[in-house]
Amino acid sequence: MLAVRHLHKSIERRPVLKDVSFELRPGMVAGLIGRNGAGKTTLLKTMAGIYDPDAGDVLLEGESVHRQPEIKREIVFLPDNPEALFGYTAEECARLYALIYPRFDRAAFDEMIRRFGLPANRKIRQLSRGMKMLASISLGIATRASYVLLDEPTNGIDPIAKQQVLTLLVEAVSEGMTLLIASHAMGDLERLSDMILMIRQGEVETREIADPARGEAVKLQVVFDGEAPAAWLASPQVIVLEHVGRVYTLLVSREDGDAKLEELRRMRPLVLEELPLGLEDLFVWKHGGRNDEDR
Amino acid sequence: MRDAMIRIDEKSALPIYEQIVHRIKELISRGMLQPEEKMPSVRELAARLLVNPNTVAKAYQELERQGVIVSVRGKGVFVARPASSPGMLQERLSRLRADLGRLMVEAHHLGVSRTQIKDWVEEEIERYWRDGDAGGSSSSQVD
Amino acid sequence: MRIDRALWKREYDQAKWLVWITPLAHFLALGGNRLNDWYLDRPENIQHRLARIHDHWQAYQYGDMELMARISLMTVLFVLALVQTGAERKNGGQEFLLSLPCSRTRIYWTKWLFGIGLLTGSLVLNTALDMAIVAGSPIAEYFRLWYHLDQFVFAWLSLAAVYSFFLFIGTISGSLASQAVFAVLAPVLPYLIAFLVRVAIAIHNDSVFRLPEADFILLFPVRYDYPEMLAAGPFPWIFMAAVFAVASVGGMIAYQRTRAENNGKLVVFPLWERILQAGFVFCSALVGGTFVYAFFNSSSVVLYYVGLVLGAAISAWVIRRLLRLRLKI
Repeated sequence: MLAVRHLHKSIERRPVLKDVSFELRPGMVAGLIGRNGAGKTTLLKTMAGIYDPDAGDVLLEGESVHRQPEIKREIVFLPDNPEALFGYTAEECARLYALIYPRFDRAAFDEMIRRFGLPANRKIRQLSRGMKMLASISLGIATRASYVLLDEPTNGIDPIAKQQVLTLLVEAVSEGMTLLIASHAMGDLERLSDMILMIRQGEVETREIADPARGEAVKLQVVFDGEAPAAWLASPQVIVLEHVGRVYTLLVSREDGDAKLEELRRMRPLVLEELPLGLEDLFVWKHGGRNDEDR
Repeated sequence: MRDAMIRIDEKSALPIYEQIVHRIKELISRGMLQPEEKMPSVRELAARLLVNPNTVAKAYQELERQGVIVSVRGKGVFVARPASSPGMLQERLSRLRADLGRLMVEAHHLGVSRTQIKDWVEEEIERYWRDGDAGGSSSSQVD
Repeated sequence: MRIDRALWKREYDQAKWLVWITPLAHFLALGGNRLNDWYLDRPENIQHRLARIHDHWQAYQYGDMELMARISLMTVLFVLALVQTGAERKNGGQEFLLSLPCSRTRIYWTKWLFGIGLLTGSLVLNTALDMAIVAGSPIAEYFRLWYHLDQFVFAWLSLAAVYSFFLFIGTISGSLASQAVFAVLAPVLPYLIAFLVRVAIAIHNDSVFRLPEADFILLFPVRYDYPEMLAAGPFPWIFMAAVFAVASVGGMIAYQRTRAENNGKLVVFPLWERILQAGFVFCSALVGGTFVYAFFNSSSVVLYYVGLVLGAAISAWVIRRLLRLRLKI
């Protein structure tokens, strides 16, 4: 088990991670979501031992990653831009990794390279972005490390390469690897994750994928009878996700009880239907709507 | 089982594993998956659908619990034979009930009167349900 | 351990070209030069030169070639330190190394050993070559083994100390550019400060000031020709050994505590930011004072203080802006 305990990290005197704690169980997939600059990369890099925490621990089977760096054999960090590998060919990368990670599976790596048509003897720098990510992820998976930390693996790559990346990740999970994926691709995370870590203003919340809102909010499709109640719509517990013609798609918070919902029911709308609340909706809700106001 | 057979709808209200359960039962009831046919393994299906293998495993567990599929040690997972498949029965009954609802909507829309539709149903009951018997091979409640 | 092989491989891959240039540059300055003088030149020139040689000092040209060799080696080691630390900060190399399952001190010592190893190898090779060249040349009668050995030891110690120092600067600097600047300035700094302080004192005493001796603090491997080296006594050696020890251990400590999140800034440690700030303002104040005083033809000491304050104020503003920068190089 990979446990993060009370992690604090400030960069340039600004706190980026505040008392972050969570656990990754073996074989699970955790999705890490948050706005750009919220601290996803900082968290991953701190877990990988690249950054030192100001306080707190990252413990792998009880051993601190920072005090016993040798246990990082079981952790592989795949950055969103694998610059360090650019000067090497895929072949040279494999040879380097084989020296670093004792369980490196060369045969598996070669098979993945062949499958994706990656040229083994071209420098990584010269490959397309999608190919670069595939090479990097293939290397990471071939290390047979127990925990793989991925920073935006599908960012900016073409749809075919993206499918290939996701296939690789699913196979890795089938092999028993634990994945922590920082990403903006909510749809992919919904399909792949068991657990969601949401980072906002330095704090990380854990949510289960089956019920991301934990009943704290509800997504509704509403058509009002007559004029839409501007005051009610403007209240802080209501977020308008979409407004097409007379149809409103809303998020209504239930954190302070059902008062808002009751108000809505009393308005006797023509249509009042509950919709499934997905990850993207959770994201928008937690960030106070689409207009950048913070709750 | 070919690739396009199962599609996950991201917008659906149903959780993914339920969608998988539902779709597989639908494929079976429509004959696209034959009894005793070999199903893809959890890994294979997960890789095809690009879904967490734990989710697929959960779906398979549910299907097995309902008797829709059977796992044979060392050989894989197979579609169960109809007789030993109470889960499928439930599925088929649900479909039946839904079909009935659809026919009723159509009848109403065409302006068939209340008495007329009742007469028609009585006719069919007279034809198939004799002596108040339960009919068919099994009886079950449909909710 | 296998991971050591990976670390060495990384160092070699990054600095491959330097590994080949180093002995070559060394050779050109030393053995090649010697070859040129005593084998490849026109016979009449060689005879001419030979005629003017009466003792081994002259035969060895007072250690001139070894001095050139030290200068070129120092340049190469300067670049090597840049490649090993500064360049890595901007091409993702350092973050990659820090994510590996090994301690940071192991990474640091691999780098350090690589540089020291390169230095040692080149010195051994080229000293041997040079000895062979001299032994077979027209000045063979003046061949002195202890001379070569003496030069070898001096070169090794002074360059090992300088390399450790450059590497140490690299562990503290946040970018390639700042590392280069600091590595060039730092050896000169004590001399500069000594000069400025003496100027300040002289101004107040209204006495004439002399340029202080450019003593061994300034670029010590470069400083000495051979007779001076022999006459200088034990102190330079002690000094070089001290720099060697302090810089290599200091570098290890700094690398162990490195703050990768500050890559791109001038220096990566807040403590060193403070030191840099204080030093910069202090030196600029002195420079300002000296400059204003000299500019107005030394009329009044007050001018010196005006310059002092101006220098301090402007530099404080400048350094504040600089410290906030994050460089891409």
